[in-house]
Amino acid sequence: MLATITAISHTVAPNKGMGILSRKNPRDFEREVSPELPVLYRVARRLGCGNEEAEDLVQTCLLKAYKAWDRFDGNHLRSWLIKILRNERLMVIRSQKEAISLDEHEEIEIVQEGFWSELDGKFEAERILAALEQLSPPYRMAVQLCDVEELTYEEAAEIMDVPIGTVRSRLSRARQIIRDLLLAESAMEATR
Amino acid sequence: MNQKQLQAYIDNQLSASERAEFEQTLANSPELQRELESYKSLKSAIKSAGISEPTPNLQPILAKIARPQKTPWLAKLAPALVAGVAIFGIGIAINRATQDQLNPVVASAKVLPPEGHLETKSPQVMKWQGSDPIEGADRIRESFYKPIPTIALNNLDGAEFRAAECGSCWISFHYLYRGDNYAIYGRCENGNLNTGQVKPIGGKQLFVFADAVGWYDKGDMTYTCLGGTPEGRVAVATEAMKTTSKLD
Repeated sequence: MLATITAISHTVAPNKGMGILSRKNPRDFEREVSPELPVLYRVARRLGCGNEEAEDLVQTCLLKAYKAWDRFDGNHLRSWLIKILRNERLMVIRSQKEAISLDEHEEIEIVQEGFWSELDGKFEAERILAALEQLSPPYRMAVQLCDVEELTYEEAAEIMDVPIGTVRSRLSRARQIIRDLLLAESAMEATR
Repeated sequence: MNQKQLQAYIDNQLSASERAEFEQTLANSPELQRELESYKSLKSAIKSAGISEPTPNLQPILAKIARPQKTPWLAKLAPALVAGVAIFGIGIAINRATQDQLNPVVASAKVLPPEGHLETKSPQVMKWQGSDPIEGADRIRESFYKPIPTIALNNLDGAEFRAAECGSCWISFHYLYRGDNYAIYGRCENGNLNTGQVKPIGGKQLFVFADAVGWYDKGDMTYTCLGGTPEGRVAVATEAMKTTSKLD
């Protein structure tokens, strides 16, 4: 009937036999990761998750991170966590075989130059977030990581598994698109 | 002056010579100056908008993961005791199953509700209430990750399916069986639900979790059963649930 039955506590036991460099313990994890929770949630949202999905994704990310905590070298915690989060999301998307590819490049018609000066000081948070949502995933992530979460190009490149030049290109293009979307919206409002 | 240079200047990504060249061009171009200021404003506005987005309180989730439970020695023995009781329960279950073969349990005669309903119990939990496990799986499939396979638990023939809940890496099914409440709880440690597999067991499709089937205490994960056959794990979970009265 039953070959083996073992009941174990759900709680993950603290790592034992850790070296000097692997000094982290669960208390370190909670203290150090705590400030990154809003970051992880926001990035999860930018990765296309709904509110509840984002919480689930963050939870899965934290579980993975906790288990790997003793192997974390202590550098760039934010990018380390975001990379775990993104990998988890990619795994879900791949298994869902979503039609949307993370490498898909979305073409958005660029409006004429010249309107941008009218927008100075008029950016509204909701409009910007809405514009951000319209970006294709690679552009959205570049903006989220570099502009919102203030990661360096190098860290963003590491997370997205792309060269730094690609981050630079995506960021530049993404900002142009956001600006143009805002301009287009502003122009439409002006004609109403 | 292309856009990449402009953006790189804003982000301090130009080399010293590139920067000097850019600033020289900038000094002679009011249009470029306006554009630069515009992008600086945009960058600042994106940052403000991004961090202004409301985020839920995720501290309890973190605390749950990070804080090892300090339990007294008696409590440490509890899993073993519970497992022992559970194994004893399996014996009863086997005996009961043998009896059931002679006197088969009639499947739930309760009329299906016209429509189950979705309820958001907590930010990361979806709960469905109804009587049909297939419909329950469908509801979860509609609301969460795809695909979640149809589930039928062969150890609970005759049980009345009451509700299902799931997160990205766990799922639970609630049953009423002969007046007792049961909850089958499964968790995938490595990945999400849809990485689980469906295997035909006893002529039915059972959602087999790679890591565990266990039980939980009012939504709080407690123990996890490993090893044995899937049927055995399910039996342990159900019997332990009943024995320990963890639910309701």
